[in-house]
Amino acid sequence: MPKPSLSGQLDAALDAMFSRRARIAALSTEPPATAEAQRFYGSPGTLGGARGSDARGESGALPDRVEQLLAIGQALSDLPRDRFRTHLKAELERKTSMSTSAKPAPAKSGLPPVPEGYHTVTPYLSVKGAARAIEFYQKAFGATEVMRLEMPGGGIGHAEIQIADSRIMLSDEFPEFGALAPESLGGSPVTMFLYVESADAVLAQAAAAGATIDSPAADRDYGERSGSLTDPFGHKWSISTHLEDLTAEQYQQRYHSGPPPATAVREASKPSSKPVTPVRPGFQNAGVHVTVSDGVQAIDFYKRAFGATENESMRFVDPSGRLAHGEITVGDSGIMISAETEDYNRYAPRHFGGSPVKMHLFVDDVDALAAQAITAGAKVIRPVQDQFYGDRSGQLEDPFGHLWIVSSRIEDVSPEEMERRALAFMSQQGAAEQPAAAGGAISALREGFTAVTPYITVREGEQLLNFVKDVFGATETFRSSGGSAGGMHVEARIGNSMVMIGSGLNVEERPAALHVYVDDVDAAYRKALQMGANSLGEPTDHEYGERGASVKDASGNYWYLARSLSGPPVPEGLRSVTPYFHPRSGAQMIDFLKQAFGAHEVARYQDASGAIVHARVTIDGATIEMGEAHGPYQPMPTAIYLYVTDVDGTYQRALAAGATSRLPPTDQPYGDRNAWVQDPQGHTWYIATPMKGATA
Amino acid sequence: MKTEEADEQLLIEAAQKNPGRFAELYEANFERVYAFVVSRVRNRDEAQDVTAEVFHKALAHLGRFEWRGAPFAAWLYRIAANALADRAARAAREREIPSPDDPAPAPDGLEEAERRARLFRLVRSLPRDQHRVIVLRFSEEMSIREIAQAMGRTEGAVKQLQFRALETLRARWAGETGGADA
Repeated sequence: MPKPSLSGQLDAALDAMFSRRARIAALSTEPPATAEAQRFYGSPGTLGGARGSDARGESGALPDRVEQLLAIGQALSDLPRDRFRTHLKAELERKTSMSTSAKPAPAKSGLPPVPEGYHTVTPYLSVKGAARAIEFYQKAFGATEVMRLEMPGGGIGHAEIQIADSRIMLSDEFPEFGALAPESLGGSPVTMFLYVESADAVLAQAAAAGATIDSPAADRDYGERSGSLTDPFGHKWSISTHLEDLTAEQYQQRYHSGPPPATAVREASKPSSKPVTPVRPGFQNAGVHVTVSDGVQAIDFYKRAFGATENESMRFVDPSGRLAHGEITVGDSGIMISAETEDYNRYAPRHFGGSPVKMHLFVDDVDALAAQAITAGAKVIRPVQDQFYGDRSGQLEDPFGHLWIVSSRIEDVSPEEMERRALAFMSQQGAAEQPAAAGGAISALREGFTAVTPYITVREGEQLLNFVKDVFGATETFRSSGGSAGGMHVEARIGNSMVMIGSGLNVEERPAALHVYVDDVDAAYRKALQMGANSLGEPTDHEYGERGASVKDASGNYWYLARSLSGPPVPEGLRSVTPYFHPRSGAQMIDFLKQAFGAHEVARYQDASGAIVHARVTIDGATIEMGEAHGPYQPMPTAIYLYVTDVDGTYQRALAAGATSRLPPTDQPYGDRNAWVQDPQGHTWYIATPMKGATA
Repeated sequence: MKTEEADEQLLIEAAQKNPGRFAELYEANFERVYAFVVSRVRNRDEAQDVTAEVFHKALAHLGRFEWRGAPFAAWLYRIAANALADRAARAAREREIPSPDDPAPAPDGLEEAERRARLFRLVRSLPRDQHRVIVLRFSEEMSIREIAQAMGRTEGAVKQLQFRALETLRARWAGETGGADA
């Protein structure tokens, strides 16, 4: 058994301390009176109560260094929450501001939490043809363009428009960033609401500019004149003019009295004689109306995750218990929520496999908010980090599939500076992706990917996805489903690597063998068996300095679990996940990879008979390993998604090296140009390049 | 020490004239009140409730505080001790706010509260990544796995950051308390 590292030992001891705390907290309904609780909670004069030995449990003696740090950990276990601290401060300041003109606390950066011109929540639209969309929004809704950042290869990386008091962000579609337009998703789980002076006029204007009117303007029983439309890019809008201020009782009465009386839906050509104000109280001019699978749960989640407040008198539940309509406020922004229903063509994100509208949320402390949202059940899509455009932000997915960009502005960046940084950022990205010795032919182009990505196709995609999530802590970064074959395509991150999983009833199954570095081989091995995998080899220390184990999952994939016995779990320069081939002839395989893809041979180990027991090659810096077929390790029809700069040239070279064409180079609707070949050993290669500015 | 006292006195006087300045007193004393309270209650919720109560009371009665040489913190500690006693006794009767020259003895355990308050404040001086790990682990009570996910790092890297952060804190804390045991 390798000795656990000091940091590992410390963490195990801290875990023991936390679970001890939890047990005591669960037991104690009285103030700490038992000797144990006293010891634990501390009596004055001792360091946070428990001595190291109490929390250490059964793990035996710890090195002094760890023991000392454990004591610090114990003293820290009561560390106050920052958001409590700031919340209480704000509360106290609110009290004092009644008698003084004290200003609310500025954010840590000294900048206001919500930058000028924005609301707390800003809709972010993904559009195929963002430039044309901006023109459309100008004509249809009187929007003004505030800024745009163009990509070097064309297309809009980020733009902002203003409609009355509301900012809207938009960009072209970037499938590789999970930014998909309504056209690609087949619709949208978000309807944009827009309050205007005259719903009739704006609907007419929009229709003239090319929108499809789904429902013409009419007086609604909820005190608004409104209609709805789908814009030429597939985004849905409801256009309303607020006519009457209703009381909570009136709203409920009108909702529960069933379909409104005929007089309530009179076809008026003008808004009522005395418009109260065109915007509903509590709302901004433009915002989002989200559809979720369960409205009541969603409201609860948004409260816990984002500190939303609900306007409970606007909660309308239909007889089946479904939330027909709910309203929450996040910061200064109103959000409407409905549960999905075919009656109104309202579908939640999972129906489309995503959403083309994200919610951009400006907050005071993005790290604290993200932690709070994750605790409430949000998933991390992109971790919080400093961005070149002056925000510190990350992306979360809520349990209902909606995407939230949570952000704090940490620096005000002028438009000129922004442009300079954007260019620097993009060229840096490009440089980082240019490997030193790529042989010129090939380059990985997609952010977060290397040149080589295993593409596993199986019938039971969800099952496999759950397996990699549970065993390897994989996170899903992209999903599109409901394609032509009713299947799905998922991309997931394992450590510092990506894998793609395709599934559907009609897919050709292409299981893979993959070498995966994990933190804890034994734990991953046990988990894999629990998840239905069969053992191919129990955890063992190998003389080449790794602890390893092998399993075969329920879909037939082979997973070679490993971690280095000394040094970091993932050896320097390697990735978390490496495809492992079992060709009949290793030599031929290596030759093919060299000729077709410009591979470099890094290492080759042969046994006495000359058989290649292990070899490693790199393509554009990304590693593929192999060991010739033997015993249970027979050739597999593994597929690799290979990013290159020149699809057509690489395709030709692959054919010349002996591959068979399955699909000549083709522009795909999902934004890649790719070709599909099979190598002489039976592996499938998707040779691909993301299309630049694949918009109009 | 003298100048600290003078600063505090100025701060209190400023806050008495303009309650908007109370925020500064709050900033200077939040950790010690919280540290004092948290070791005497069952859980975080209660610690937060009592801490909030202490500061609300202090703000409401700030006008009654007179500078007589005893530090402002001592007054806060006594409000806190009373609030805790009230909870324990579930006394229906509101306790009086202690007057600054109240002869009642100061509550026990102040030294310990001061020590832990210093540690809590030291957390804010950590480098950003170490700070995040400590906050997520200890005040959000997230697992290493959840933190790794939230930060986009490996679990091993997070454990390393945690280790390094605690080492930094140990060194700085010992330094501040004149090499006291840790």
